[in-house]
Amino acid sequence: MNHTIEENLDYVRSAVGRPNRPMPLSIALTWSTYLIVGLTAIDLGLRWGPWFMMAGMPIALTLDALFNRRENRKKGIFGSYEDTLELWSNIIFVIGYLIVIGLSMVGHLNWQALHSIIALIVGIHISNAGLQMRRRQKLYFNRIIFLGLLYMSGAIVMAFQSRWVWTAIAWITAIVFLSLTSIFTSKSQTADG
Amino acid sequence: MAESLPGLENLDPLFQHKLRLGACVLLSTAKEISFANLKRNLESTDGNLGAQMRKLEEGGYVLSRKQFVERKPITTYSLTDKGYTAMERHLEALKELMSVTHKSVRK
Repeated sequence: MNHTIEENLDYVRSAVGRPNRPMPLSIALTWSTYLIVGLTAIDLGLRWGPWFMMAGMPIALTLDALFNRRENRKKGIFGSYEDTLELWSNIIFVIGYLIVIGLSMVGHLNWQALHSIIALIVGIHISNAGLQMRRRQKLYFNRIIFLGLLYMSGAIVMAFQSRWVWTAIAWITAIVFLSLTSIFTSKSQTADG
Repeated sequence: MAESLPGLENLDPLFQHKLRLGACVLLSTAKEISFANLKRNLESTDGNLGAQMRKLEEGGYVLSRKQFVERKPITTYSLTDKGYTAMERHLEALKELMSVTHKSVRK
């Protein structure tokens, strides 16, 4: 009986884990355009380059969510809870992003605010990478999403302090890794039984 | 026997078919999923999946709905609250049952 139960669970596991939704081309194109145009503009020393990177991020995130939703409807998935989670993550990204930009503008755009924004962008990319990987149902990539979110929180904190910026990033990353390892290890052990 | 194996009495007969259990687990990840998508992910046939979904519908575990997406008619399914609760209880019972049998094997 136990054998049958395990067989059934394996079947369910493989059904849920079946690669269902590779990244739609429209999403890949959005992010490629954002990176190619923005980074090339910065390298060429164009003044609008950094602004394109900053303003483009929330736009690209919104497009990402819209394209993903459209793609899922085509495939017969309506109101995916994973997409709702992604949408909320994107909203949090944008709010965090706007807070940092706002802070840097109020207290003049100095190197410190700039580093915060860089850390925020790194956090967004890490989280986004986690979400993309999780689309392939490797649920342990959840920790990457949280790493990105915590990285972004760190970026906002960095906007308030003026010294040891990169050291702060190093500490945030180390603490995040250590805490996530302990939290997720115990959870996955319980889940696997 | 049922007394010695905790969780056994909580196993739901409707979920003892892997296709029905798989369909409900998949439906728990979204508000609605089309028949075609379920068939693809569960690697089933029209006839078999249709029959199993009907049983779930009769049990009040899922709801079906016909709608048009890009002018094409499709059938979508959603998990009801009753279905979700039953599935959770069934999975909990399975977990309990498996942990007991794993422990007894180790002994």
